[in-house]
Amino acid sequence: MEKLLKDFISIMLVGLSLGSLFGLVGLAYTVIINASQLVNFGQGDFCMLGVAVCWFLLSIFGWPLWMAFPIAVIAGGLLGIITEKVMVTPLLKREVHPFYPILGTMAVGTIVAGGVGIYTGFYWMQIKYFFGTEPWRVKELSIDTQGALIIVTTLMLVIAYWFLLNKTRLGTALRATGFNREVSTLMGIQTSRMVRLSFVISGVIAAIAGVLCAPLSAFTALDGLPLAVSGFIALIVGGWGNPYAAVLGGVTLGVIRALLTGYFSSAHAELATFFVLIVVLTLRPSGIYAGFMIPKAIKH
Amino acid sequence: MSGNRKREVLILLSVGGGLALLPLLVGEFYLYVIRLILIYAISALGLNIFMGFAGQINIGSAGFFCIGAYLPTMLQIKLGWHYLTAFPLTVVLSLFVAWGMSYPLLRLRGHAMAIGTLSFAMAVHLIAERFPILTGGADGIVVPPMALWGRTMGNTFYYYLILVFTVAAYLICFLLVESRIGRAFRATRDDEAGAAAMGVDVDHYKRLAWVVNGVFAGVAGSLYAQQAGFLSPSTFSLWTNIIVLVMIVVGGLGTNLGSVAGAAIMTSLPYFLAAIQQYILLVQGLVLFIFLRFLPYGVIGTLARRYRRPLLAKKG
Repeated sequence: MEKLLKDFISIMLVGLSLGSLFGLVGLAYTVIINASQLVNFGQGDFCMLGVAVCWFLLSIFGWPLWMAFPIAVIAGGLLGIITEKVMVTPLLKREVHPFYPILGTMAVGTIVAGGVGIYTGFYWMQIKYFFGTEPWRVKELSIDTQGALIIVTTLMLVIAYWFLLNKTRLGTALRATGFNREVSTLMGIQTSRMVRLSFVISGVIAAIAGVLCAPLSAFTALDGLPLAVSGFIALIVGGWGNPYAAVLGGVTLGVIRALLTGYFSSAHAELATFFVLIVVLTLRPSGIYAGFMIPKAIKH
Repeated sequence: MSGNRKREVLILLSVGGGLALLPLLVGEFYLYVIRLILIYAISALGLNIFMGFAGQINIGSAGFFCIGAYLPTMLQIKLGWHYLTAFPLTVVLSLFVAWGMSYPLLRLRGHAMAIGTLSFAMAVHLIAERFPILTGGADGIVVPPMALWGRTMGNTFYYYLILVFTVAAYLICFLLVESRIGRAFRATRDDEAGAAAMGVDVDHYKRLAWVVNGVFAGVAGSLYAQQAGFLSPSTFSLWTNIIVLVMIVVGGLGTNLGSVAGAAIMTSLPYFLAAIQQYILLVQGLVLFIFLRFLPYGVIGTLARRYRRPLLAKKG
């Protein structure tokens, strides 16, 4: 009985950490969606880039983690700016097929994946556990340190984002831009900068998420797109446009996957993700947690 | 319009005729590449109907491609069917699966539809990889060669078979586009609410376009499997979906000729860059990027705008 409980807790922890990754990706998507109604399908590749940069600095230059990590995060933000400047905004100005901006973000993602792939030979980019592989023992439980770190960081990021949005002027400007762009411009908000900022924030979150999870799930250059899909599914399952719902959606998916992998097999777990998607879309298209903590002015 | 229709049919027949004569002139390598081009052209034509003409988004072409490839193969291996009996069944099954998937997928808007279709392709790929009973698993499976009248068919036969199907596919797209159905597609693309207000059954036409897309991809897949001789799930991975998408963008979204041109360009590209296999993904991304940003109407689209051929059904 005790063993069962221990197993269950380990599985739940894995689920929570994996789910936090999906949730953070979903959050990153939502940041951009809430500022500009755009979906950045290169999101997964943003994460992958963070991992790539961090791995590169760690393995090739031999930098210590506390130096490599911030640089990786900055790289994520930079990619955000680049995507926005080079792809999204010019496309929005033109009269093209309505899906071109989406395809544009995928193009950027593909370029990043292709570029990293050439350098790494599409091999795994191994990053070591931040605090060593020895689990942390609490009473009779052993808790995986990286997993705990991921969960704590996710909580902190969500709280930070909440604080930004609700307690700062910048956050109000961001919300206003998403809510009604024209009027925001009239009110003196530089909406194009807000959009750019949302891409940067999203890139930063993605990079952090990627690097934190890399010790657990060894990224390769090609892992961006599957992650983008999982993150987007988290977003849809959780609640479109609601950042907290997106995180919860991701955690839910992660837990379901972990439970299925633990008790059945990983093949079932991955298929289950799509199954959940279809079920949610059919029964509750707005998302399971759609009403959760609706930030006042973000609702559309 | 009829002058242009005649012109397009003439182009089709002359290119088709030229391709038919090609085996007499060039070597096996070129024929191999052209076989691939034609197969992808069928898939691209289908995707173009759904994306270019009906204005929706589908990043999951590899899903039907995969189904179309594995189904006749497994029927031949496990049940001893002949390709010619398996093939119609594949078409019918693609039709059913497409029709069935249209219900959850087509209610989605925009980005959600993109991910929904991509998820479908991912699910198909997963099933192909993890359920060896259905597909021989991740190691791959050998496709039995086709035998007709006691003789095993070779590459030249496949070449003509594929050519016939490609010409047929092009003709179908051509007729579809110029018809009432095509007009309904374009109305849906250009202004869905307006089209609905004018009495166009938008859901029905979206479904039709999606089914056409699925069936074409399925046909392309089955042809691919037969001529490749060997199948493995890695051919139908996530990133494969991007390839067909790049093809129609490069060729010209919303033009049939563009789909074929795009297929020709993107399929032959890896062979021009043969020395640098690893660069393929990067190049695909760059090509997509360049075309989206600088040549949004694709090769054929931009040319057509220059010469103002009303041959094309383009928005804007």
